Amino acid sequence: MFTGERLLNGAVFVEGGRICWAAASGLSRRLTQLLVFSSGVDEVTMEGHFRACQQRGVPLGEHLVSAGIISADDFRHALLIHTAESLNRLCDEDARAVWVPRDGSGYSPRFTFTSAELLARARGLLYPMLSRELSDELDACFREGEWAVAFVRNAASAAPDPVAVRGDWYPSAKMLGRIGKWAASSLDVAGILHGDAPLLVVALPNSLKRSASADSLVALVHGKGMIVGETGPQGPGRILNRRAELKRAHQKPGT
Amino acid sequence: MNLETTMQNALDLRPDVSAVACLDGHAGLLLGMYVRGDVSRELVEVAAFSATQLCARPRFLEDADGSDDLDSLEEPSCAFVASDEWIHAYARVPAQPELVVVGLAKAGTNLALFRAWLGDLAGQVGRAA
Repeated sequence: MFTGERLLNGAVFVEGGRICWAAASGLSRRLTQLLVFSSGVDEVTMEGHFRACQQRGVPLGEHLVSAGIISADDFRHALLIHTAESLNRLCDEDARAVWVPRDGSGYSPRFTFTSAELLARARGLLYPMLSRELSDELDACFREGEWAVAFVRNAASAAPDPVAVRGDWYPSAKMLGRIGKWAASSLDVAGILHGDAPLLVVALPNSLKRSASADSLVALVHGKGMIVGETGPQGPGRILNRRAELKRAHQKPGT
Repeated sequence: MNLETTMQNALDLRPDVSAVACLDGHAGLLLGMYVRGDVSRELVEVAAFSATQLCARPRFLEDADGSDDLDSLEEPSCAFVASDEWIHAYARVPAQPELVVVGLAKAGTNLALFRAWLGDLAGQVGRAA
């Protein structure tokens, strides 16, 4: 729970090392707005679903998805946005966190988040256009089974801000910070020789490979962001081709 | 055949490669450097000495691995950096991982062939050393 001088500002619910959701004062209607937008159901009907779930002790996500009101992906996305916005609100205020054990369970793992995923989403909300662009670039550069993170360098902090993640490997939030620092310092060194847009590819030693298919670690500058990821044998070539395509498109008159 | 002759012969066979060098990463010594044409020697030195950072185990992955004995972990066998102007690539000498061979080529050089050639050269350096 987050408390300020006298008041309870909000709470973050954690189960099994994953974040289930967060609530912040002043954002109580925000989840309804997000779900109404995603589902097309009107606000009164959605409030009715909320109340019904509370009375029956049924998790909201399971209920809405099983009733076909919203897809699982859309529900998860709405919950992620709401939780990230709540965390940003809680971290904005002069509040302190207090751990409070709570009985019971019932959160579906598919509707819970790792700290890294949530951190990237929360920081990404501070750079909406850039985080969307970098997220699209992660999708263009990396494939199924590969992981990647996009960062924005922030003059106020030594650690770059993670703003988008992709893939099924989510390091801890602390490690995400270390990945960002490694990429920033390596790309700075590479930039001495290569200017402001180097692509670094490092062959992963066998002892550091997480899977047989991923054999390289890549780090690159993309616009005002930085991308780091693990990729397979075709990855570096794919990324180089992508960069060449983007450069051609950028140079084409009228584009 | 000694290190100098090995590196010079290799560079003579690849007109598309601008420079080649060999670094002892543990001692911090540049053991040899061969540069073609008007390529800046300073540029090649920077590329060579960058090996200690760019062709090294990323520290965050060591944590992910959970190993207590970090010295026993392998270093990357190779790495490269590419940009609009240059490609520079590293290949570690087999059985002598403190030695790194560095090659520099203009962007547009066939990357796969360049890296394969550099790996082969690292093998030759290992036999010559």
